[in-house]
Amino acid sequence: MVVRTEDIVVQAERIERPADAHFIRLLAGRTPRPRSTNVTDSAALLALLLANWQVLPALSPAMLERALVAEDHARFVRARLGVTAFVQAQIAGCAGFLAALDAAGIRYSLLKGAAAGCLLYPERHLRAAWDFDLGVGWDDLADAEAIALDAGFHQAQRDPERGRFVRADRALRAIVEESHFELGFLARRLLVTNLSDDIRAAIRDEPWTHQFWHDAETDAPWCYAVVDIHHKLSLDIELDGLLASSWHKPWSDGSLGVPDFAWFGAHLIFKLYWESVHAYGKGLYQYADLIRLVPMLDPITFARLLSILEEHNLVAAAYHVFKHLPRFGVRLSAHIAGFVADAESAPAGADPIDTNDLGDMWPKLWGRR
Amino acid sequence: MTSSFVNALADAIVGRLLTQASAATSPIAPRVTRRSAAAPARARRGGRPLSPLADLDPVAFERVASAIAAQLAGLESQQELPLDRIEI
Repeated sequence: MVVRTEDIVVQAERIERPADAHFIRLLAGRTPRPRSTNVTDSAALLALLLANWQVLPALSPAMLERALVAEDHARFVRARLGVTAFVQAQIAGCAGFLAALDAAGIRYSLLKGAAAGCLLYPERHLRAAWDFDLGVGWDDLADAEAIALDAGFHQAQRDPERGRFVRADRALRAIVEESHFELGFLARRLLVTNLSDDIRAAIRDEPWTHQFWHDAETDAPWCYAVVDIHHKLSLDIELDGLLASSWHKPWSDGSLGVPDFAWFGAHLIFKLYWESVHAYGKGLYQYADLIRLVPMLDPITFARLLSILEEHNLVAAAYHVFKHLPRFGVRLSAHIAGFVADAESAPAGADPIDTNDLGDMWPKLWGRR
Repeated sequence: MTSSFVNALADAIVGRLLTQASAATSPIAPRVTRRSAAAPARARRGGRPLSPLADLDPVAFERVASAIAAQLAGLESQQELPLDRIEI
């Protein structure tokens, strides 16, 4: 029997777990379709939510009421409170540093999660991340680090055994920085003095949040704010183009340097594709960013995004990433749909390795082969 | 703190303290020679090769070991970042 590609796709859709379908809708900001919830499906959905905790602040508890059993829903609520407070602490902990960069006239741009929160969500803290990433030009790197140190950050490294940051071993740090595209960690230890009783209770009672909060069983839990200062986007992608087109977005407490949508999108697609083809179960949350970015990609912006990706040999990555957007209920505008259709066939004579085409990353995003 | 960092630090401290201890114990050098047999056994019980200290007088050994422990404990506590208070 000949099995057509279409049949395989249909079969894959059929074996999709209810939890996966729920999570796909949640990433797109939509409430899961009501259906009877059992303990197994609920546990699977909670596992997906916790594995992709970057999206937790953006999900209202009401959206999950019918998709999680009561005990799992309570855990989700506690986890969301803990993560949201952690992100708010990071934002507060980095505010002085960003203001000082501006005051010193150093051009910077937020990157990755920090940029996504500023560009795509109603409030910055609705997009969580471990670190606060930003980029500066190579010539400004030393000054930016000095300003970070003045603003309360310390050169630090993570002690994996204790999950804590300690003052950096300078020799080790120099070795890492020499061969990497960002500075070593710059960290602050923060005691948030106005955590509400609800948040303190959530942090205390939900062990999962203890990866973010230390001394969680006490009345004074604390967390880290970590700044990563990049001077490149990757070992192969320079930062100059992104910085040249960056702009300052007005915000409630001033303004923030952010990339334009073309560069933000190119970086997002690179990360989403390149990380997920090299790892299982990593980076699915980034579709939440892409779904919110797509309406901003008018034909001119999209053409710029593609030209950036072409310059870095990442057209195949864009194809593999964009082609899955309809799964999230996203209707692709004509120029994006046209690109996906055109890019479906590899250029004649193209070599997969030469074109950075490591295949579809969709199963790997879900931890499958 | 990484174990390699701790080891390098310990080696540096041991080297410095060994010099100090040698100077301090030099007036009682005969005791060092007389009791040198006890120290290697102590080092073996610790499970870690502390050969430079094995030739010391046990009293000096204890003093040096205590000093190393105190310095390492102090450095451990200094490694933690200071706590800043903020509001969110």
